[in-house]
Amino acid sequence: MEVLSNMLVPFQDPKLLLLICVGVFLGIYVGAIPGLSTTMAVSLLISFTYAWEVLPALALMLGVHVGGCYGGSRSAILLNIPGTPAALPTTFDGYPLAKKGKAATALTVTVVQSVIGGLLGCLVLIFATPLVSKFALQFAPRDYFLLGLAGLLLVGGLSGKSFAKSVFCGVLGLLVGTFGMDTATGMGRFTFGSLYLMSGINYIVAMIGLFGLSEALIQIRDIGAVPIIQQKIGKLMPKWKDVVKYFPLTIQTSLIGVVVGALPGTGGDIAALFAYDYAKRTVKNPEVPFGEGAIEGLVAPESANNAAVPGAYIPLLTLGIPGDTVTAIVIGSLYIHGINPGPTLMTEEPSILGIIVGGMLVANIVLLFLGMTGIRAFAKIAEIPKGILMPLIIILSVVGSYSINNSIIDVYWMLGFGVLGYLMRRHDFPVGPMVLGIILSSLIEKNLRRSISLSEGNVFNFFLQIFSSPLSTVLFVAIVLMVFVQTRPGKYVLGKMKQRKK
Amino acid sequence: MEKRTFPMREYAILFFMTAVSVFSLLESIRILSLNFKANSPGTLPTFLSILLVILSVIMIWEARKTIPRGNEKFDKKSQAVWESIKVEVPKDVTFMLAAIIVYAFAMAKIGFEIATAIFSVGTMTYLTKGKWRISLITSIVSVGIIYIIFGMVFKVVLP
Repeated sequence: MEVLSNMLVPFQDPKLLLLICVGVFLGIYVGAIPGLSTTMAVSLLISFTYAWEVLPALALMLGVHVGGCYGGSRSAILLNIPGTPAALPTTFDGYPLAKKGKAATALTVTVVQSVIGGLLGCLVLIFATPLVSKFALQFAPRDYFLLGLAGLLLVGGLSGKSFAKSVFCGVLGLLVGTFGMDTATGMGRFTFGSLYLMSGINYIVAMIGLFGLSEALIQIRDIGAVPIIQQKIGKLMPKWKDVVKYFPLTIQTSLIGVVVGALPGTGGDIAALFAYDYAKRTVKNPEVPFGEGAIEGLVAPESANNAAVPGAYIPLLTLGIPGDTVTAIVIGSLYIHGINPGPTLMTEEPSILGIIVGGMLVANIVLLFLGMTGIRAFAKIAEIPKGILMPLIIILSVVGSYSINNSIIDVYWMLGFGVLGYLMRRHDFPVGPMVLGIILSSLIEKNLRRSISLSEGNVFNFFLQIFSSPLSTVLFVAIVLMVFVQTRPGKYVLGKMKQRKK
Repeated sequence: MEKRTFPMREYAILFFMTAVSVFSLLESIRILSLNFKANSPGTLPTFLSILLVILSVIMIWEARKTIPRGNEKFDKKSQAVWESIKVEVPKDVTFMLAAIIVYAFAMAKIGFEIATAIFSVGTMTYLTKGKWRISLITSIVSVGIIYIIFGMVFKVVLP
């Protein structure tokens, strides 16, 4: 009941309402400009909102998250460049439609489907969160440790070209997260006598460097590589007849989106690809073939990627594990404000779930109006040369990292992480798992040490206890399987199984 | 050039990661030895470092299998190194990195407003290939907006 009353807060508080609107507006344009990502925007926002109260900070970030997820489709349709990875499948049918002079139809479908997908995702979030929280209350410390590891492996399996490189990034992130004074014993780890390092590496600084600066450097490297071609379009008006026609597909792909979004380490990009593939397999007679401007080819990815946004908040709110890179930053923001997401969040801080659900509902409603407007303004913004835009991103990264502790040393650390992120991206080391590792480090270590203590300090007992609980056993087996399917024998077995099915 | 220098660049980054892994393993063992028990502050770092070393070996092994050979013939080794560096960090990126270091240093010495204005005019003019008028106008406007947002709205003490 308390959650439901808190859900109404964003509707009633003009300040929160305004911040959500600003967030959605910013998100749409950040998402729409190729080269700027929602993750980068939210990582920069965290330095803006550092000293704010938690609710306004969350409202702004939620707005950017929802707006950014939709925004990518604008450039996908008009420029054939997905503004965000989640908008990649939108280019398959969106751009062919634009080339046929039906850009307005494509843009209208994407707005409406994004909003419906987002709203359906919110419904699942409302009902699933209490259930998962209740279940998560039965988790022992070792289960959290295993869950954290499973999350990292899942991210490793799904991001990047090489499993080894992705897992390496996650483990490196975990190691970086252990830097500084150990809170239990006061012992310094990887500090090398530096007073600065005693408090550990500030994860916001790492995030700004790995997401913000490294992306700007990559864009500078490829400056002028992709010429921008504009499309002419008229007014956008939704046709409710079409909404009703595609509604069954919308529901199915939204559910795919929310489930995929809820898996740690996935997100809108994977959800959109799954949904597009699903639509391609299940829609038997589309009016226009897929890849040539099928409306179903827009309905599926757009509803799925926006439904994945609320989905990503389910593991964050119930287990304290982020669902995607943006929620990894949101979890960091919650830590800053002294809030520890997890199964007890609903009883300790019911307002947070209420605000997140309410804020997302507001953001989706606002998106319906903002998404229908500003197409001409977008065309102008998309024309801003990268040579102007990237120095501004760098200035924001520098000022943002400085403002956390008013320290120039933080700026140099941000620069270091930026260069590391640049090199990692150049060589297919995904930076997302590294950030996730830094964030999850304290959760994993705290629970590992707690479970070893409960096993009377004996590692052998710790392993025995894993097999004494069904949940721990399932998690352990899941981890072993996740690693096994990525190895050569695992791939061989999977291949044989597929052959037998055929 | 990109393809030709790829093996050297890929191995360079992999060996760098391996060196980081080995170094972290040595440091973790040192931490573990100071408080040797299962629940020690060095337990997780040691476990993670061992994983890093194993993964580094796997990555090098994978690279040996996947990187095509035979295209990377150079007259001199120094030429190969130089060309790899040029591909990895081209002059635009090198310029920007140098500019950021100078900017961060200058911000502490001469203050936020002047340092930011010089940095943005300089880098924008460079990246837009000499369009200094638009760079100047954008810089003045953006420095003003950033100052208002950070300095006045969020009360950040800018240097």
